[in-house]
Amino acid sequence: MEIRLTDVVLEHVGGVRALDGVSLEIPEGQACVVLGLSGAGKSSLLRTVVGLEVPTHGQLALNGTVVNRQRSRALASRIGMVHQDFALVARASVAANIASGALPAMPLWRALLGRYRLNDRARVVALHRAVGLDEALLHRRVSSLSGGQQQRVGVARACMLAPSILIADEPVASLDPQTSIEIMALLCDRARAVGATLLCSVHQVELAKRFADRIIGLRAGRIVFDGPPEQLDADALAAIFGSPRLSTDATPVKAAA
Amino acid sequence: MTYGLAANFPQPYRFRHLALALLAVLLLLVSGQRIGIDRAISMTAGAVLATLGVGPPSPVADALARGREQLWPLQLETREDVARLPPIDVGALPPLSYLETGTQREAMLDPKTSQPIFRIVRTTWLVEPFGYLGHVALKMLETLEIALWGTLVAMLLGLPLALLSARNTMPARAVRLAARGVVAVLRAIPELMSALFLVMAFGFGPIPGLLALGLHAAGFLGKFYADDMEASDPAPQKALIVIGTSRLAVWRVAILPQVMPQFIAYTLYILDRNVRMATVIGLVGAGGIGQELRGRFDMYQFGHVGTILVATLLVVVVIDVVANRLRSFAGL
Repeated sequence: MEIRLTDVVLEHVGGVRALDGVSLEIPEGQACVVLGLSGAGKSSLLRTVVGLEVPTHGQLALNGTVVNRQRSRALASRIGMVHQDFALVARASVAANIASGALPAMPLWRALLGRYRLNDRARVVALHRAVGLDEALLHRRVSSLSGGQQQRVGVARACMLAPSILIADEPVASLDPQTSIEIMALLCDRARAVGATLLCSVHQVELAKRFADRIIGLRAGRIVFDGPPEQLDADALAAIFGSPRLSTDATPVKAAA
Repeated sequence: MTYGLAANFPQPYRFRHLALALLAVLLLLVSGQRIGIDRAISMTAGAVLATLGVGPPSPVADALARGREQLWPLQLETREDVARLPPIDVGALPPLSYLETGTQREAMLDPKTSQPIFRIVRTTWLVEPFGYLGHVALKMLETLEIALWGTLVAMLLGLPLALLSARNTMPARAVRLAARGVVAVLRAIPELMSALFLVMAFGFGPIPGLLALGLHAAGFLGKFYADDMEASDPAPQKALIVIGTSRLAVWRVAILPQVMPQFIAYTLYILDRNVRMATVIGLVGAGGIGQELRGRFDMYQFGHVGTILVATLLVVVVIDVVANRLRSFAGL
């Protein structure tokens, strides 16, 4: 599914502009990684696309349909999301967590009784295998899993309804470098498997360069870089992250000395 | 500089605390005067001294001693005048029971002189040695059933009320406020008071009892279920809502598993509490052992009262132990 933002402004209470006039077009099937410092607007951009935030000005369109305020359940269920803190039900089993991704497409009574359809159950098992989890873990509680395993469950849940857009908000921020690479590879692999547009935010430049078709650099709510990974040179990095000497963290250290 | 800091060092108490303590003492003095704490102390002390045999006779000690004497021996048997029973087959008496014949002095008024006269009558009684114990056991069972059904009513009313009053299951503020109001009112009415009116509406027996227990506990469970659901981890709930899952499905899949241990703990607590309340709720006529106690107490049959008190004590202790076992079994 194609994503198009036109002059999107997102203002939080108090007039803080998390997004300050973002225009962006992401064609279907592209793997797009958003880079930026903390507070640059990465999360705001992703949350706007997924519908957790409503743009103050501007327009958000999915496949040409404007979805600024309201979006239909059918459309909402075509977007899968992977979260930084995994957002899994810790006391429920791995199987129940993966299956919960299919809830929007299920009648309520099935959800209430926990009677998943046979093909949903088959898909849970298939995805469980596809994200590289051991079969013995299927009925274990999520809280007994490691961070990397939990994020694999998160990816599997997001893929339950074969989404057209896969959004990942800092999916590897709390994982070690090796696991981060594995999860990023998995995300790209799953997105490709279902032909989904991938929109993912990270703060590690190497990961962005390695996995992205296209990198978007955000700084203070504005797009300061937009291009393929090969174009991400020192100047572009300085534009996104600022030059180390002028970075804001350096100032208080000097003052204290 | 250093002294200035030392002077500002937080003191354990200041003038403000002293003034508050004085105010509290003053309030207690006024209230104690109204309640009669001085008499409570002197009467209790007098009773203790009299019991130890070192003081003047005490009316409190005497009354307690009389009560104690009357409670013992416990009444275990039933004894019924055969003449007042439907005809019984002497060959087929109820198990363990026997017939006893004796003479009895009966008081009556002389129809001519209106003077009390006595006459000796021969009476045959049907004696069931553990008949009253069996009766108390049945009443006790009824008490436990009232507690059980009261808990079920509380769950069936409390859960929907909780769903309507928790922020993450009911987005409409007006509905939430209304449901919270209902829950607060239910919780605010003590069981004994609602039972008083429910007895008027439904008549004597277990029905007003289980309704009174259920309504009060529904207010309790409604609040605690709802507070717990609101305090559950919001991340998985939001993750399901963004993809278009309905509120009720989110509740079932992302909230219920998180709060289930607490729900079980609250419900067990309510069951435990309802057993204790069910024993007293009969005092206003709402069924169970309390109603039996009230009747015997009002007829000055203290032997019966003694049996009821001992049975109640035993059952409450046993239920307490069972509830604790259940709790540790459920891992709470």
